Amino acid sequence: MTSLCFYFQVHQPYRLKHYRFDEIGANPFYEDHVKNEQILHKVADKCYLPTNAKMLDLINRFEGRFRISYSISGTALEQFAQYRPEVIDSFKALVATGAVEILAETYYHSLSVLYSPEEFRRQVQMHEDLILKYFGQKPKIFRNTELIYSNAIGQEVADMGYLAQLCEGVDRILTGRSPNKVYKHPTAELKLLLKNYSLSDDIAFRFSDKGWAEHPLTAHKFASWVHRNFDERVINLFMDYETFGEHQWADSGIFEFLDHLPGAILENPNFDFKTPSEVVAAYPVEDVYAPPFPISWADAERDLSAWLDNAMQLEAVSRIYALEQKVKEKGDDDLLKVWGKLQTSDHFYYMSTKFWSDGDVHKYFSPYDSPYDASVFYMNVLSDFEKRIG
Amino acid sequence: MRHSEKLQVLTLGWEFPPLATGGLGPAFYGLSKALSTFVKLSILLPRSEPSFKLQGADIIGLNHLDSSEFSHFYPEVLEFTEDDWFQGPYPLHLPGWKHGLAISPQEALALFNDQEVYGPNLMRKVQAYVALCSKLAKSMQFDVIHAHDWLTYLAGIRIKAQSGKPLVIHVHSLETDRVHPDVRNQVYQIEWQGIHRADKILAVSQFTRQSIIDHYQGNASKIIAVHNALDDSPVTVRKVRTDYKSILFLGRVTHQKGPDTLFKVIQKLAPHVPNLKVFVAGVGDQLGHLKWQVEQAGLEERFVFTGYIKKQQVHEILAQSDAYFMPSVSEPFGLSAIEAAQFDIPCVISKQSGVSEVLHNSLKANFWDIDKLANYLYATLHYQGLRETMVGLSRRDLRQINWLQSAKQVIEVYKELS
Repeated sequence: MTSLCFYFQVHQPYRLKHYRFDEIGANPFYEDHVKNEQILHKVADKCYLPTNAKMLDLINRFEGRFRISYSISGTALEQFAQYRPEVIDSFKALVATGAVEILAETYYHSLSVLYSPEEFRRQVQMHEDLILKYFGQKPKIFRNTELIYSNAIGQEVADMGYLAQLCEGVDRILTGRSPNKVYKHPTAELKLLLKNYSLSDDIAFRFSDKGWAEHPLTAHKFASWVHRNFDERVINLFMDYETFGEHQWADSGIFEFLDHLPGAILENPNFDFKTPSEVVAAYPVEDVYAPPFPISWADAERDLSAWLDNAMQLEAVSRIYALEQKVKEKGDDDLLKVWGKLQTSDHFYYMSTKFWSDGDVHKYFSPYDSPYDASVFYMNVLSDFEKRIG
Repeated sequence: MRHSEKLQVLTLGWEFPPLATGGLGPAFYGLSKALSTFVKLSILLPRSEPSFKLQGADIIGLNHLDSSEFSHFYPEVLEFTEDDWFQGPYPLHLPGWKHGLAISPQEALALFNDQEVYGPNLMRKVQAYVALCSKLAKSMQFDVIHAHDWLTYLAGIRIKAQSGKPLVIHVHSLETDRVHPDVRNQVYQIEWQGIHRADKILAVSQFTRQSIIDHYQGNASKIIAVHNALDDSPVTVRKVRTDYKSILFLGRVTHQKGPDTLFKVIQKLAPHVPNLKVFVAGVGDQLGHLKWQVEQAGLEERFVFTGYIKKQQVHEILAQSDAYFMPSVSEPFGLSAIEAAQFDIPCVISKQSGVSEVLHNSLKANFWDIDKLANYLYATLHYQGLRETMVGLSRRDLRQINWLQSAKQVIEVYKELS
């Protein structure tokens, strides 16, 4: 038997407003509520609600043989609750089928594991509490922000009691080995599921690319590629949930593709769908996966350079984490929440100059006109926050 | 074009080193120097210094023409009439030109013995330049004419008419930048004629190209942007530490350069940056007004007015500046921002500038957006990570900005025309 393991990342950050320098010390409100609400409605209507409906339909149609998993960040859940509670209801309905697993992550979708183990644990616990509250599940499998992982992170996650963690299948670590089996940490008791980036990216990035030789991608064509891996254990398809309807628009045919995919996969009786917990229960560990330095699922580099590369990013990150002790000593819950939200990795991603080319229209993932604007507004906000912390 | 020989270009210029009053001289020299390795240049100038030579180019300064010899070769009174110059929506209305130009060689030559190549009799000098250059051109060999800025357009048009050779005009700036978009004065009229009679128009930026289209009804298909550059002579940066945060405004203090924006932005910034100092290096017709505004606002402590400063002093002041501010209302290029970037200074510049098209890692806003400009200046003065990123990536931008690159574009134009 070969299993397909779907994991979808659901995340929305709190975007900052165009906070001016003359507001420093005078305005304690940082978020662009209008933009956050607008984006949330847009993504709920284009992606979350229609895709959840489709997933529920598929799970019912295939009587639970179609099985999937999600990781939903705390900042996304907060904004659903605030602006579109029916999105949470639709996730609850999915979880109620018994065919859906919810994974653990940091509440703020942060880089905290790289800066403070204590803060990392706090955020993971917060997230676990929230998942338990909404979905009645206690997550057993961990996935870190943007699949950031290293041996040291794995040790930390194992110490926190998780059975397994999701990772990127990075070529330079795999050195020719297949990502399609269960790996483990070299020393700690932690199993590792590795993303098959080739098949995942066919859906997440290439699906609507008319210049791609395989365009248009049909469910049957994709299933035939999956079926070639009949001698493998598990094919991990990890991607942003916003792939459906947001990154790949509805008119690209992504929903039709999704509609036909489970049937096309299950046509071959040697293939099934499993959630991450089911995968690690079903298959033995076959090999060790040991990244000495942090890897991630971002860009061709598969490292931290999307968030921690230029001096703007490094200054912002180091200054926000430098506040940890003072913020915690204050014992003010509101300040702690603000501090948490300022840790969301998206803020640093917006400051990336890796692919920055002036006047370029590749700004889809940033609410700002340039990495410099992202930095200026964040630093103004941070300057005010530092003043408040004292 | 003769394949085995170098293309010959008759280059018409006005300012040339060591003479330089603005951006025109250095830009003209920089481009000519880069071109001179590929083509044969004959450069006609109002004045030249014999000590200043350019390899591969013949430089002829009208101030060195021998009057008697000149009269011998061209004994007739220099005059011409071009009736159709006085047609069109913007016909020329130049004093003494109504019925053609008449100027004797003696008078024409005498005008260029004057050290000052501008001055109150500038229009007469322009006429003399037309007369002398068009006479000289009759005995010269060239494949294409390249005329730099409005002062030389009429000569270019005249030489094109008599030689049948194609004319390229090079727009370094426009009267609509210098004065106002609605200006329709003599200089505008000359520019209009040049733009509509040239075979190809080179603009120093996309911004200028667009201005030619918008304000002169220039034919878009004839205009290409060839960005200015800065001599790649290495600048040794020795940063001078100061106990204040300094912003540098460098250039003529005229409406075009945005002194009003400068004042409003600093007024907004000053209460939030206690150790702020603003250096205003330059003179101009708005300097008095700016000083008055500064006094009225009680900001005298924050401003240092240096007046006009020479290159060495410019370098000294650049070495101690924390941010470069160019809030121009309309800036065809803005070479000084490149110079600031060479000194590793973060630049905050208006989008109404040509240089914003090549300094990708500067902070850019519309000149009227006081809040945004102030915000950017505050950030460059306070956030080290931002400064480092801007400076680091600007070094990469600077490597793309060189005269060789621009010269190659110009040579393509020459080849296309000849």
